[in-house]
Amino acid sequence: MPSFLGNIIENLFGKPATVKYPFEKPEPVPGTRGELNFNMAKCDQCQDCERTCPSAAITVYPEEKRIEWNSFQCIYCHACVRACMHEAIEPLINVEAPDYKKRVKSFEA
Amino acid sequence: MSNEPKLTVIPFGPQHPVLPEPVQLQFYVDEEKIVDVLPNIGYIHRGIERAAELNDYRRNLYLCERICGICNIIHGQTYAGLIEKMTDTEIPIRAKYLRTIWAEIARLQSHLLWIGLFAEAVGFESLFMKVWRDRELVLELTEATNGHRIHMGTTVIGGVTKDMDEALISRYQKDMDKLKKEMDDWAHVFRKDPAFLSKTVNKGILPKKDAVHSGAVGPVIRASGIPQDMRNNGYEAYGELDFEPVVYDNCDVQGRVLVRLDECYQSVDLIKKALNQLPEGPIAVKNEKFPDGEAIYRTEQPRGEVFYYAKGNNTIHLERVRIRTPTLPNIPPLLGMLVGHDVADIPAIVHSIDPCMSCTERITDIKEVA
Amino acid sequence: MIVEITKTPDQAYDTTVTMDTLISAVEAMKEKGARFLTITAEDISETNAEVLYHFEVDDHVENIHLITKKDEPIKSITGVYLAAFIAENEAQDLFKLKFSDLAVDLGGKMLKNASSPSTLLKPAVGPQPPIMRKLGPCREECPAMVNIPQYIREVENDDPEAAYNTIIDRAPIPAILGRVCFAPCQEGCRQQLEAKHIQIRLLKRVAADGFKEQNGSLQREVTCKAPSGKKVAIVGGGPAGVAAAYYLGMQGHKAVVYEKGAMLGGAMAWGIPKYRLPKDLMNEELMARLNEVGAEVKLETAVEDLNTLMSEGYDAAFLGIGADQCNSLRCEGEDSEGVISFIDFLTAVNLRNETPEIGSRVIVIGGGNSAMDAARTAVRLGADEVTLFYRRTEGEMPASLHEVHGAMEEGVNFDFLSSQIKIIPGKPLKINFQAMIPGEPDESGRRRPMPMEGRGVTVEADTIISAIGYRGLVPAGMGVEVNRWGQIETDEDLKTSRDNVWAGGDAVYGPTSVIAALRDGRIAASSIDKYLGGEGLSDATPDMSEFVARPVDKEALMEAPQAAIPELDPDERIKGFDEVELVLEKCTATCEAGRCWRCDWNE
Repeated sequence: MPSFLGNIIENLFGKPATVKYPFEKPEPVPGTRGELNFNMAKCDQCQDCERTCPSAAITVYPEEKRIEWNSFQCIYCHACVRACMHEAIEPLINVEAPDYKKRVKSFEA
Repeated sequence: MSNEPKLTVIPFGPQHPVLPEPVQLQFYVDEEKIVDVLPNIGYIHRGIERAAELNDYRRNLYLCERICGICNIIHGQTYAGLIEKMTDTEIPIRAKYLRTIWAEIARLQSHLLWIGLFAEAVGFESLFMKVWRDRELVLELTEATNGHRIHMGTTVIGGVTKDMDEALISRYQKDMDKLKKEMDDWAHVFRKDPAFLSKTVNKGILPKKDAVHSGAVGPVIRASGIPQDMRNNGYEAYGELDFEPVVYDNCDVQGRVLVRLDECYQSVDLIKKALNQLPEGPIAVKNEKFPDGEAIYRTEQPRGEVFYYAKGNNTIHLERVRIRTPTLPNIPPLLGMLVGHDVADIPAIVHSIDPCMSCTERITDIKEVA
Repeated sequence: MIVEITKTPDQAYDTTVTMDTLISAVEAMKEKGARFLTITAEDISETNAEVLYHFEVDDHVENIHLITKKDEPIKSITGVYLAAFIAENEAQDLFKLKFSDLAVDLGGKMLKNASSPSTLLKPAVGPQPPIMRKLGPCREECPAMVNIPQYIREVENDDPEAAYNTIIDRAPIPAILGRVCFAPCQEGCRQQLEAKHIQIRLLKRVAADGFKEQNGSLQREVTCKAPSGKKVAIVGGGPAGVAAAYYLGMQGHKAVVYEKGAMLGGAMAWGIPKYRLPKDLMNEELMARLNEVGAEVKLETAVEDLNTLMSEGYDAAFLGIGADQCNSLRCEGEDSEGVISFIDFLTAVNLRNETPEIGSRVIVIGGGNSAMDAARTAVRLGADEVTLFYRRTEGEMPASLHEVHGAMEEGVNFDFLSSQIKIIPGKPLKINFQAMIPGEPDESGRRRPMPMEGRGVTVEADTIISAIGYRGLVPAGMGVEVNRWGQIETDEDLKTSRDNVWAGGDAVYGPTSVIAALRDGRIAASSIDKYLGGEGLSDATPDMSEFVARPVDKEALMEAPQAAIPELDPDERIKGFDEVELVLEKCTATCEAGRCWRCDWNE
């Protein structure tokens, strides 16, 4: 018990170790593997991202110049970000919010 | 008149407050003493080995990283090392060092997690909170490296994806020193506290002569006096860091606690040494052919030796991937360890092998195709 | 390193056993002090399974292989290694194997899905990631589907012979194409978005010139198929005809090429000036292809009547007669002396090496590549002032930018939005131009020029060269149907309305390009080969067994600059007809080829 006393006093008078969510939100760290934003101005529909994705979350429609991204099937590994030669996939650092039903995001030129 | 004692069956699991992961052990108990144990595993099938045959070999890396939550970094590195061996790729030296550092970070946070859970299982709840508070130091380091607390995701076939710059390296050094100081605060409880020792000494004995034959791996066997550690064989950068395994002769639960505690200190030392010796160079290369032939790769996870076997046929798919994680061979020794003890000792003994059942079951499982 | 590779040549530690010797092999392992690791089971066919037992002996892994039928019980090794019961139960549950004498037999219920069927490769459920290999946008833009990514890699590996052969598989004249092709592949290159497309045409020339240096000449040693005994007549020695002759020769047929001029080459010979394509190189390459397959060439032999030709015993014929009738200026006075068509002008200079008297002021009317060729030739012949008049704007000229810039550098003047109205004969000639203004778009999408009333200019000139287009003229003796523009009617296999007669190139599609004519030659050859009993030629498909890695260092690739086209100085060029473009140096070529993004990756 005496060995823990220092610890107890420190915890009693220090600030809490946790972030009071939802009143305070923790800041995401740069480099977090978060959501994706497809910049269609740079995309040329080569389908490299679709072939690299491990979970088949990206579907490219070359004729319509459109990309569908299934944010619920995505595993946020960012392999597509590294695969795109035009750097058209921009990784964001916010984590996706939960939702009532699964949806697919569509990006058009 | 039959002299056979009447046995009660206590089903322990799959859901139990003490168990970290679902496993069912059926205890045949005579009053308070355990007479026999029957295991029942198989609650977390996900069909990973089968899925690994359908995917191409590059996407399997992301699949293997998600076999287990805690030891994900080392699973990814083992799979990448296996494919690099099958394609004769030599990764740059800096990538080897970085992988070693991150593997030791994974080991550190896994052991700290286990120490906290074990402390709680034997009744030390504040100690559990304190240990997990110190584990946050490690998790914040992981977050600073690649943004996620446990799942680092920095491995690719041929190296690593992210580099560490000077600011990050000095942050690692400072945080490792801080962690060591914090660990010194509470480590003595595990070594000397009488209440703790009464629960762990001479419980769950695995004699030395049975240890090898029963198939134990990891800290379980190192606590029985046998220096078996995959890192001895010098894969990645361990060959250049003068690695010696931590061995104790206690053969009981206390030995395993001491082994894991000392491995925490050893991980801190290895990380600091590797950071001091970090060489310059590129961080990734590309492989030059499809995987061909058979290969076996074994690394040391926090829980023991993990065994990967793969067979390729010079195409983009692998024919067979076999993964045997460390908890599976630790179950037969567990059954032997439990017999003869009291029911009250069950939590401590079951925890002492560090069961990670989600690693254990990922064997082929096909549903009927509709 | 710890890793044991048990690849097939290195099975020093593996043993294969049968059911009878299994237990004794496992007991031998125990004697050695081996530690049991695990068991791997695998379905290798519908009825057979392979079971591997993995043991660790002194730091390395030794395996025991056992191949067994699935319904035959396997002897359990739990008598030797008790700890193996978990692995054996697992194999029993999943692969439906039977183990006899299991110490702890959980009866197929260890893993909770008791209804798992066998594990042979079955199709997956749920969305699967696509496994495909693309051809590459450069290859898709090429009319002839040349395997561009592959030959770029071969140029990067400094293997010009392999690159040369790769190109000839689809387009048989790489040395010529490397100088004159309009390179639609470069427009398709994905790096075009950053204006840094790979200089594919220059790399083709590097491959061809490199091969010639290595080999001494452009002729290779090839093995054609066995002679089939069939003869095919090729009318026209242009690119379409030579390609058809080459591919038919490779399939074992005898081709005879009839050319009405004194030199092979067709529009390449009379139309492309010597400073773009030296004629001896052109002839060398065309003859090299024909000699490799043993085709016969009859120069200065015009064919007017196909009936007499076919009666000489030919089984099929190919018409590659091209186009050589210049479009008229449609203005008064176009027959005056001093007004020449660009075809006559270029033929005189290119084929007959003449230096016609063009005086000091030359006017060229037109905006295509032929007009640029005529203007730049006029500069080299000594004209002091060469002006080109075009009726639309600069951006709408069909000539390639490279040619237009070359002409501007050499001092050609340009006058846009001027259309010719009337030519007044005399010495010097006078020509009236009407100023035009862009109006409504026409069917090609370009705005139709409308005359601006009251604005115009009269210019004096010694020579006026008309270069506003040309078309073909099919002799009636060919007996094939033509459409209203004089082009031969064909189906998609390039077969004409007449039996045994195919056609291709400018004669079918009007004036297009060398590469389109080569494509037509190959398509027609494939169709003729099938008609004569062969299998035809293969189409372009991606090969999934080839390993092509993507580049790893993206930043270095993005920063590398595009190789510039090496050219002679403009003042040096106009002194004669030396080749304007030079070949890339080897290190520049290697760097340029290394910049490729490998869009046909398969890794």
